[in-house]
Amino acid sequence: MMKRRRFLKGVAGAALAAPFLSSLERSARAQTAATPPRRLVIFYTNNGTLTNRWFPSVENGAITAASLTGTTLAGLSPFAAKLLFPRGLAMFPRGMINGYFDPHDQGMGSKLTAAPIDPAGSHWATSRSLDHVAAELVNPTTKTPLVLSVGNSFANVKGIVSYSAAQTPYAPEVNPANVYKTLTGAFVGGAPATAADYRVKQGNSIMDLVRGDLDSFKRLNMSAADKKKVDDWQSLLRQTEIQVVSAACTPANATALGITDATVKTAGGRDMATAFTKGGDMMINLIALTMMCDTNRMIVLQWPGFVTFKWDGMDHQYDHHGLSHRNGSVAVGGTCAPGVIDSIAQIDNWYAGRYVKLVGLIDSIKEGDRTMLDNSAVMWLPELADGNAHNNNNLPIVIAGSAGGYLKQGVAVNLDTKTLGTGNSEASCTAGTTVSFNTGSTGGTVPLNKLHVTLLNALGATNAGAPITQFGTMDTNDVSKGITNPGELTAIKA
Amino acid sequence: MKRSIHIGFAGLLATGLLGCTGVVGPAAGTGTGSMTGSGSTTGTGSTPGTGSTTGTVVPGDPRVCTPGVPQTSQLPRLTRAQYDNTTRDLLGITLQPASLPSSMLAPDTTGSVVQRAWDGYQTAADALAAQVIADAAARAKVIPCTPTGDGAACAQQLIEQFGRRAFRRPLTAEETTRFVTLYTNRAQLTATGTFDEAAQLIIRAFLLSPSFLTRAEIAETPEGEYFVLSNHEVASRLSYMLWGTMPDEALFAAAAAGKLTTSAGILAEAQRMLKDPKARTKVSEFHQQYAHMGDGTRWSQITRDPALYPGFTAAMTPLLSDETNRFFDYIVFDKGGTFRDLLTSPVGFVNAALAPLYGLNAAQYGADLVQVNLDPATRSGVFTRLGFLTSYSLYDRPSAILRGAFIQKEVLCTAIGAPPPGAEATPQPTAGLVTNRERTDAQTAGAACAGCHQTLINPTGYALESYDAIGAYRQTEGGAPINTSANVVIGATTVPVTGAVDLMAKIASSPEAAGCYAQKWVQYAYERGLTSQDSCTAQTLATNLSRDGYTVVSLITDLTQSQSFRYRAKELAP
Repeated sequence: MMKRRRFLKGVAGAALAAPFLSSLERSARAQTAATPPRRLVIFYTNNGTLTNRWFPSVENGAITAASLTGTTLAGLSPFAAKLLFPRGLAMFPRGMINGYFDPHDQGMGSKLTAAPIDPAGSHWATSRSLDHVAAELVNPTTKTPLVLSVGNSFANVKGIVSYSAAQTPYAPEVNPANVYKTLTGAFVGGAPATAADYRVKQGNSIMDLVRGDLDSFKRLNMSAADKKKVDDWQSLLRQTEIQVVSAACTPANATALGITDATVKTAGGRDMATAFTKGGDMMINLIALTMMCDTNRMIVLQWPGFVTFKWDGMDHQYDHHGLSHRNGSVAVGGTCAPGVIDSIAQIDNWYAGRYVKLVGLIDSIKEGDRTMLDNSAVMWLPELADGNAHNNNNLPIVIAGSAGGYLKQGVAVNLDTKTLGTGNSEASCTAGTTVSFNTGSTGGTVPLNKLHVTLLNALGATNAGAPITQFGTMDTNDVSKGITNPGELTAIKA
Repeated sequence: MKRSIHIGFAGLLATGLLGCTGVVGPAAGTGTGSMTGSGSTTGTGSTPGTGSTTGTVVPGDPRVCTPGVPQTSQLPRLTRAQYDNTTRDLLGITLQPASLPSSMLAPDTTGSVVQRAWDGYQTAADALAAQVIADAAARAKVIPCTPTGDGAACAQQLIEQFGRRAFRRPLTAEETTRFVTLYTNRAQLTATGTFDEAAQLIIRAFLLSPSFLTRAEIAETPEGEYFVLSNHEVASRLSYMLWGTMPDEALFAAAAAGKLTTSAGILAEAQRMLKDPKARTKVSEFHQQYAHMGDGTRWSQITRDPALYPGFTAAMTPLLSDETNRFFDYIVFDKGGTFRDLLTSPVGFVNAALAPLYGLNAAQYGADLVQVNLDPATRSGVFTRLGFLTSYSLYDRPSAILRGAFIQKEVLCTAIGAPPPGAEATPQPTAGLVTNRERTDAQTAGAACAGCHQTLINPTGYALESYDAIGAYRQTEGGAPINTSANVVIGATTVPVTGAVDLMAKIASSPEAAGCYAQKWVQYAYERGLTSQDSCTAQTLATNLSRDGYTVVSLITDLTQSQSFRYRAKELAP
């Protein structure tokens, strides 16, 4: 009988339940995980923040709970010792490139690709994104990252941060049920064992049937492109079969995280309030479970930007994008919307709350003698720094977790040569009523590519055994120069 | 870096408007060769002579007719919309708009099935199969018999009948055997081994089969240099093209009887099918694409400065799409109208909220949209309705640029290249200028803008300046009279127009607008980008459209009469 799955002795150290093996009637091989896997989770928000409230009070030096007091990130205080603020980073390319510039298109398309977006057509990014590169290099089986969003999948350049290849957007998964489905297929042990057992058997029977259908296509005189589609489909089925499953991946652990058939169903509501609150919480829970199951080591959670916040005590008149312009509309300039700074602060605080929940949840899961957060890097990465200035320098970025000891902890590191400051997000609309554009900041222009390189190495990715030294296609605003400043950010390495 | 220049949604349409070096006809001469800027990768505008069918022939240009059948994939996967419709008709379930099966699926792509897509198919198949067994009406539609004895005979019947509908062709003996094996092994595969549990598994397996998920065209019957499609393959093409879903029993019967091997047989079915409400939905979707409506378009996010436009409320946004959809549906199906009618009819759909903007008395209308005849002196066709005019306006003013660019690019299929660097950031001057037209002129007076804007984009939009940012008719602005006279480029000629109604009459009778509409229909119906073979079909249809009395419905039925509808190309030698 074909060997359908291989089982891995759990990263949490749980032993594999013997009755489950026999009930599967399949050959299984227990393996011991030498070291826990390292993962990268990117928490991605749009429209910038009030940067002057967001950054900690320390620009370069030790971060303690006191450094976070009074900031947007005050909720991270319990985890201060596990935080890293890589300061002074900027996205490249930035501004008019190849005759086209829209800061939102670019903020999305270039952020994880470090490459220009197409000046024509749909403005897709012209290179592969970090998450796909990382997934291919470090994932145990599937070679694609887990990219999630809440609410409506927004399938144009303004909603896509992930690219599986040049000009090939990778739309986020918005349905918690799909993520859950993949994980339940990977569950080991636990009650009711028979239900899981039948699920596997039925899955295998259907798999054989699908394979038979594809085999009949293979007998036809198809074009090379169609043949490839059939081949790819068959390899996908094989990949699913040999998935290596962690022993921590159990229905009991799912339930402990609040993930059950019923809660997943409730969280799948399509209205924006449900999607952002219950749906967002469920995605966070599913991220934790995915990490426990070790079915993916590269996870992105996007929060859409063109959304009006009407939940958790907020009842905004304008959407986040309009508020970030300070005037409530898609236009720029004009008149400050009433209470706009307070509204933006509410949104920033709300997102900070989600990030704290994510970090806290991952840190609550024991993995060997440490926590899952210690073996991971959980990064909040923004589309823009300030949403009105639309700038992409001096980026507000925080990373929780050291990725297995690779990154420094409890510290802010100014990577630039000058003092950075925290931006001027309240330079407009605090007192006056006319929107001005001086809300961004100057300085902080170290290429973000170098952080991408550092994170890839932190995950254990290599370039055919050697450390990775560069990422993306450019790190200045000159397309012709390519990568001018390769290498890691050594100052943030432990 | 300094502050960035932002354009956001409002500026999306501004991209791609400039760089008129590639525009065909007189515009090529009046456009400037000096404005290519650094836009090294411009769109179609960078290729001289590709602007319209009147342009110079460029080898390989898909707009140049080369007779024949284009090469297409044999394995197009069901789109999300097709999946919803097909499962509805196959399983007899009622679609809930809030939880469509496609909400479980990955976004549409034409590439290989990736993990994300496969996960979605599995979730949907699980849910749908369970739903069928739990729902008496759906179960009765799918399971054609009452099991007796070991249930094997009924299972066989289920597999053959459901299989034929799921695969949209009769199953082969080998396929039937594969599914029967599932039933035979039911005791090992299911907890209870009951007929229903086995049936649920069989349904799930069908819904995950590549022969269900793709509209596979597998017949290899050569005829000349092509393969001729089987009757069932033609039936599938007909039903997905005209209905967006699987064939009904009458169409299956026509296929089984071999009636779909001739153009006449196909035409008869197409005429029958266009009388079905499903055809209205499919045609409505085309027109929504034609007018660039829907989620994520300018029609879905409309905000207006409440100080300037107190008459506009957020609640009106969906009404703008509704009135437009009603108009298209009325012209095509109720009136049996022509392409010209779409651009010139004075019929409108109005309720109490919209009435004041059309100069009508709100008190005479209720909440529902009702059909009215608008004033033909001010309203002529779909692009003089509130929906288009409002969507193609800005927060605080109408936009001659957005409107003009849309009409040129999307209605006349004029190729306009990418804008020069920084074009979107050009501010609109206000000092001493009273009207929007004056300010737009000043805004686009620079050498880098003037080539495209002054000759091509702005004049077209100026003819529509008699409508404000929420579509209301106006004759003055800031005390000054509105000037809607302009010299508008329509294809190879420049024609003087006096205003919106005159503009629409001239566009409606132009070969460019008819050609553009026909091209878009061909691409929509055949679900592919224009090929040079399809271009021949589009040209024939465009010629037909210029004949009086040639209805939109005739155009749609004629889409089934092309050679490439019945044949597929063989693989070219590698």
